[in-house]
Amino acid sequence: MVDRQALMDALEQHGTVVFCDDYQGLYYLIVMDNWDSDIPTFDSIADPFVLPDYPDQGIITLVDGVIKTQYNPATI
Amino acid sequence: MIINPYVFNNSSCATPITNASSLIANGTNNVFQAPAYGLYDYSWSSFIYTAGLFGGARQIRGIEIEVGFFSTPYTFNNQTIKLAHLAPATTTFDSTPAVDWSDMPVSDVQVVKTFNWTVSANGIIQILFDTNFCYNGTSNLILGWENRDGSWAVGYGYGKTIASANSGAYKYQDTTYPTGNGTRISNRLNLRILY
Repeated sequence: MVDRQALMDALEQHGTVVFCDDYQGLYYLIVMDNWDSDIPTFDSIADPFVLPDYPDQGIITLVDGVIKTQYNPATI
Repeated sequence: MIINPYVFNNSSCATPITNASSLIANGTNNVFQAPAYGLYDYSWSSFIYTAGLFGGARQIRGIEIEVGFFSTPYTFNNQTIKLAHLAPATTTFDSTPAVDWSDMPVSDVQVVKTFNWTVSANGIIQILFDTNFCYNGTSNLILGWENRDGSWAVGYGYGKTIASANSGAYKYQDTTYPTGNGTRISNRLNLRILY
């Protein structure tokens, strides 16, 4: 199970968490504003928390400081 | 006086309404970007259905698609569905599918539905057109779905699709409606046509 609070604490070192949670076990969604770094930095923080339960990072975008990423379980 | 709205909608179509339906595509894959991607403010998706799936000319008055896992009700505002004939020799998208179909040999491009779409329940969704599409039975059919909601929301689900090589495309982004080229996929949206 994703340690949501620890993940949010780690991510907030680099921006503002808008949403960070799972949706009915279907996917794990993270949306952040004001991200001050790059995608590899985000991945290095988030992946260890999320990938064990949601091993497929199906989507990630970073535009104007907004990060959106959707992690999926192995089978959707 | 009673006016049959379907005949009235496209009286120039030589193919009559028969109040029948045909299942064109029916699979079990799940694609979040189809037909509209709720994670982003705007999205576009498009799917090709080859002529052999239809069995002849049809005056298409609506469609049924299939969605899953939406937190209901979930609303996409400002949706547009377009249909067009696609030259018979073109059965797939190229590797850089244009959002405006400028790279596709399309004809008779028609907006068939503009609406605010509320997913009230998951499963089969019936959408009756504002304007019927007069499908000629020999061209392929291309469907375009424009999501111009302008906002995103948690609780979005997916569209059910069937595997078909290079038969789908999508693009999504925030802030403005996407232009340029999207991403080609090997799935097409489950589809039943009403005619």
